[in-house]
Amino acid sequence: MSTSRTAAITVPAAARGRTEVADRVVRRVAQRAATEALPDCDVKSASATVANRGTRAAVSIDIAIPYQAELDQCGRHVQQCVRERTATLTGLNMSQTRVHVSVLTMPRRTRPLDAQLADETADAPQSSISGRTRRTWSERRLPSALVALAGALACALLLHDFVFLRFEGRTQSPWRSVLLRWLSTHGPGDYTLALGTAMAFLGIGMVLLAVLPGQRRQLAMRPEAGGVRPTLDQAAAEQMMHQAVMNVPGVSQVRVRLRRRRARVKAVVKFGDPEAVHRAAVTAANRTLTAYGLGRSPRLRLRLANGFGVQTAAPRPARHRSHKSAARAGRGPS
Amino acid sequence: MSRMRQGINRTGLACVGLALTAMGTVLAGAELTGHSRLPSWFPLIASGTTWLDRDTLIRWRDERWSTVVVAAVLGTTVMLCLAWCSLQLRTEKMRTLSSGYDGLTLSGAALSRVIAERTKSLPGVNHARVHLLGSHNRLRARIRIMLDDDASPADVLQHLNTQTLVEAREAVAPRRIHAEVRFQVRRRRPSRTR
Repeated sequence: MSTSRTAAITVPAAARGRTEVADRVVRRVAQRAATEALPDCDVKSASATVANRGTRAAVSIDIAIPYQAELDQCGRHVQQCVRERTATLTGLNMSQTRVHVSVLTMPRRTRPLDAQLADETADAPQSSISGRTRRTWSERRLPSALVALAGALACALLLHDFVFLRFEGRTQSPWRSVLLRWLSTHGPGDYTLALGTAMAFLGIGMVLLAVLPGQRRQLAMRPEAGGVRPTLDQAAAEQMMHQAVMNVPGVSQVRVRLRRRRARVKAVVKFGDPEAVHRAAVTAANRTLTAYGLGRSPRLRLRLANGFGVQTAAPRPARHRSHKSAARAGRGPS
Repeated sequence: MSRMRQGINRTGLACVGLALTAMGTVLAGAELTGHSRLPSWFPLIASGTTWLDRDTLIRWRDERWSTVVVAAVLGTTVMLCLAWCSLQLRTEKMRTLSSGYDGLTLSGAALSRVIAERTKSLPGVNHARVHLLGSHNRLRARIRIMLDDDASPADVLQHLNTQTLVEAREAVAPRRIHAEVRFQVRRRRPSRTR
């Protein structure tokens, strides 16, 4: 009964007309859907195009979401919401829904950072997977680029001359005829020793560049966890050591030279008991060496000279081993 | 990528260096002809010879194949050298991280900015910069940390390991991040004299 009535009322499909949804509408709907998908999701820019006689739509939006775990899943969720909601509300087929996370906002913290840090350090197992200390190796970009450029230039010059000589029938360029003449009239014995020695030394230098790690100005630190390679700049280490020894009362004119294996500190005692100042300086320097967290702690060598007016028996310039080896030595036979 | 480039560069430098050394040794050894101290296997050059023999050169020129061979060898060398050189200029910065899902991408700049912000909020860190390198599944974060004057690098590293990097790894999962951390301090003149 009812089916026949509806059939009678319905206008034939061709005469029904067409509903067109504007690009702007699709864009606004998609924007709204994205902001509703996640609590802190913000749309930075959006664009939409309706194609294929108003039946298909492509949406592209840039969003800002909070920095959190599983960013891919969050983005995926937003993408699905946008696709489904836009399709439902506009009745269009979504041919493409492109979502680009262009901004990550800082999450709101409920607790102060220090408390969190304290928790995390407490939770972290003390003997966690500690990666091996490894030096960083230089990529040798500059020497390679120079060698490659020199080789390319020399070969290109030869090739250019050769091709023009052979295929264009031009005469040899003057530099090549000079070179050929020199080569055909000279043999071993003319400048060869100097030339050969220079070439050999250049070659040895290049082999050394290839074999040695380089980046000597970066000290390798203990990683303490997997997937991380930390380094400390040598200049930074020197400056920290300088400051630590300088802060010891009675010490002045500190000079520090810190390398991978040895840390040399020289300073002058300006006032106070030289022995006490010396002890304090050694303690401060050792504390700094520990604070570096280096994989291989350099050996400390601290020398204090007496300044003008400091009158006690001159402290002997003693050699001090680093805190680690000193501790090991102390533990050993006794 | 950086590993590969390092391998290529070092191999290339070693090859060129060894070739140069060998040639240089032969050249320098030629000067020492007649010296009995040289070992017997040393490739000595007879004293009367010149570097280039005109007749041989002319005979070679008449051969048809020599032209092609010389041009091909020179051309290949030029191309190889240019490729090697251009390899050095390439930066492998990650601008856009693609996800496993179609049409979903993440901005590399946004990620590095937020990691830098999180690093800056650690105690003892004055300033931090992060560059995101590597490939889509194996990211490399190059983190440069400017420390405060009284900060301990070991402590900052521990906080970085337990907080910032853990967060970053969770955020970009299932991709992996390898961090290259470099600690620095602001250069300053010693101001205190006693």
